[in-house]
Amino acid sequence: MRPEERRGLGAEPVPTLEVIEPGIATTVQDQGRMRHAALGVGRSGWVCEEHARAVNRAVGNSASAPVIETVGGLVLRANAPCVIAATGWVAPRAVRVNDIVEIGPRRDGLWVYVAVAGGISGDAMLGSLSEDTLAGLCPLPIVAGGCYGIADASVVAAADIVAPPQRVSDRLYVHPGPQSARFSSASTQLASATLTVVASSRVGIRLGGADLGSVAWDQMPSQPLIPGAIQIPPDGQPIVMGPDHPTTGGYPVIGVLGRDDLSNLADRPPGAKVQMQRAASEVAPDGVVG
Amino acid sequence: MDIVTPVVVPYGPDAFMIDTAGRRTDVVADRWRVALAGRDMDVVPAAETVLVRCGHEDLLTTGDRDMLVQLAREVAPGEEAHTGRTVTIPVVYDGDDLADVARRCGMSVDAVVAAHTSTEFRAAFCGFAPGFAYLVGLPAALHLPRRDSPRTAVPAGSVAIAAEYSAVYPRSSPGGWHLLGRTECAMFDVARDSPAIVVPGDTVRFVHAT
Repeated sequence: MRPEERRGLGAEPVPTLEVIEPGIATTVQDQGRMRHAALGVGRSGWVCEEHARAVNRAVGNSASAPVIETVGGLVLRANAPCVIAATGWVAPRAVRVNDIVEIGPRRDGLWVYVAVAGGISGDAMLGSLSEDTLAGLCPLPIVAGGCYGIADASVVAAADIVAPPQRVSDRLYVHPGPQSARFSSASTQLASATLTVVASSRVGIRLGGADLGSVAWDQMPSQPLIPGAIQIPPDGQPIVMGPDHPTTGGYPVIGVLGRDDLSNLADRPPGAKVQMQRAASEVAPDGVVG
Repeated sequence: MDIVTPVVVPYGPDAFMIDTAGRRTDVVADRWRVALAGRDMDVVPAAETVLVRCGHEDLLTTGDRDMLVQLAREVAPGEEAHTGRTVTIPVVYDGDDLADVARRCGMSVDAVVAAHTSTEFRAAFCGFAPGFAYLVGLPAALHLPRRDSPRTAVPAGSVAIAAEYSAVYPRSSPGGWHLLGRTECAMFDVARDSPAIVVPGDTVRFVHAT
């Protein structure tokens, strides 16, 4: 790793948060990169935007300030006085030098965000500090003893953490995808299936419980992918694209989740059940029912 | 003359995609990018389709969608892209699959290399990894399906072919393409103003490294 990619790792004379326990799937995320998808660089960025914005707001940061994203088990030590907010806390905490900050897993969801007043500092790549775990951009291996830089530790807390409204619905609305018409019986099956989260990462969410192997795909020309696209690989088990998705792919996409439903799904731990439901159909401008 | 109209393809509430009906996707993507300049949107060309992905607070209106379809319709089939750039990539042809490709294509190794170096490729679209450009124009005699068993690690700079495409792996990654050789060119470097050496619409030539 080149020095300019270290983003505050090591003994730099800036206020830092030292990593005592690195947690699970821990990365730095902001709103991500736009306008590079044509070069094969996806947007990346936080999985659950509302939670990320809530902690930023609570410490007085701009909505787009970089935060730490983790599944929990993260333990930090402050090397400067600072103010921290984490998903699941009621209010931000003023932290003194050498205070230990423990950030636990959530009971009501998967992803935990940690904001520090001033934001996490670092060297952006293509306008973002977001680590793209698939593309290998902004890689920052988080190990015990490493440090996160704090961009401006003089910023003070502004507000309580207002958690986004709890989503009580287990229903996810499936919009038709590019190959829904071609594989109409599989897409009908998908749009009414009860599915189980098998595995979840920033790249995608693998769902079990529906064998859509009937999607007899042949060599399909590569098409653009977006977060929320439901791709059916040859094993018939759907994969919903997450923020670190590849920008193009050659497997059929037979359904699409909107932004809110994607972050709802992405916030569910493995084992969670979700009920798919066909979204109300929209009429595209040329009259094609989409 | 009756020209086939681009077809709107459903892709959910946050994106808009068309099948270009034979028009070059990089040309359509260029037109769309100009028309959407300043908007919080990403334009992504692929093999036969072009997509706009909307940002968080910027959605396409019906008027926007009509305009995008109209812009695509105005592109003549076969129309060239605007970049007009030719990128030359020096290659050492010593790839692990070169002999196998020659055997499977019923050609000599020299003939495979000659076919690759005499082809004027065009970057059609990117994907798979940052800076990984799918180059079209590969002579039909060299079309081979992907390897049955992908390699777990293909070295950065590997020059490869699969199906109707050639490409250069920008960084080490798993890969199922046939390796013809390698280049020292850094295909993708975020430290540069323009991080990718090859962008959709570019002409690409491979030459023997000296």
